[in-house]
Amino acid sequence: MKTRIKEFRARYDFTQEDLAKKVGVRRETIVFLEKGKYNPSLQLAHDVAKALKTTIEELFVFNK
Amino acid sequence: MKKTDKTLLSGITTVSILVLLSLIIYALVAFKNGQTTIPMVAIIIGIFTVVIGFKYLKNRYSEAEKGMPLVDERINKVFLVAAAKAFVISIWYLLILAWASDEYIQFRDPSQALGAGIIGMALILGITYLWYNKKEDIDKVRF
Repeated sequence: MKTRIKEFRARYDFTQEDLAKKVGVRRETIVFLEKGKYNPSLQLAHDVAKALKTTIEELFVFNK
Repeated sequence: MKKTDKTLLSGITTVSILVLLSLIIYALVAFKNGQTTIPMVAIIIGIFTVVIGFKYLKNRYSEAEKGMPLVDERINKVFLVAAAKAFVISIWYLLILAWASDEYIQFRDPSQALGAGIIGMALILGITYLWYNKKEDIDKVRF
């Protein structure tokens, strides 16, 4: 799974720490999410998308 | 920092200090009684725990101060995986300890053997937690 979290984060000038605080997770969870090395729950995916003012489909790119 | 996080961090810090003090006292008493190998192992474990534990707690304190939680869904998952793996490894550790206590290690009494078992199991849990926390793709871990 690829994510566009870093791209959207840069768009709103958020640091990983800012996003972690907004979503209510640890910073390292954001690091793993950005690398595409952690599959978030639907709730977390929704919260991250909401914090970055986008949709889950825009943010997470699923490979078959 | 949330009250629950503060309580959890204070609890972890207190238990860590108590375990370390116990190790130091145990090592000193054992040295006085003429033992060398087991106290040396205890001191090495103590130093290792202090270095890793201090770094870990410092990071957690600073993150919690900035308003980030101590536990989130990923950490819950990491802990579940680490606990399951640590359980299996601990069975092997206890088997090896039981075998070695007949052949190579002379424990003073059953309480010393019990202490070695408990401290070893706690260390195994700590190491597996650190291992899986750093490991990428926690979702792909298979049992």
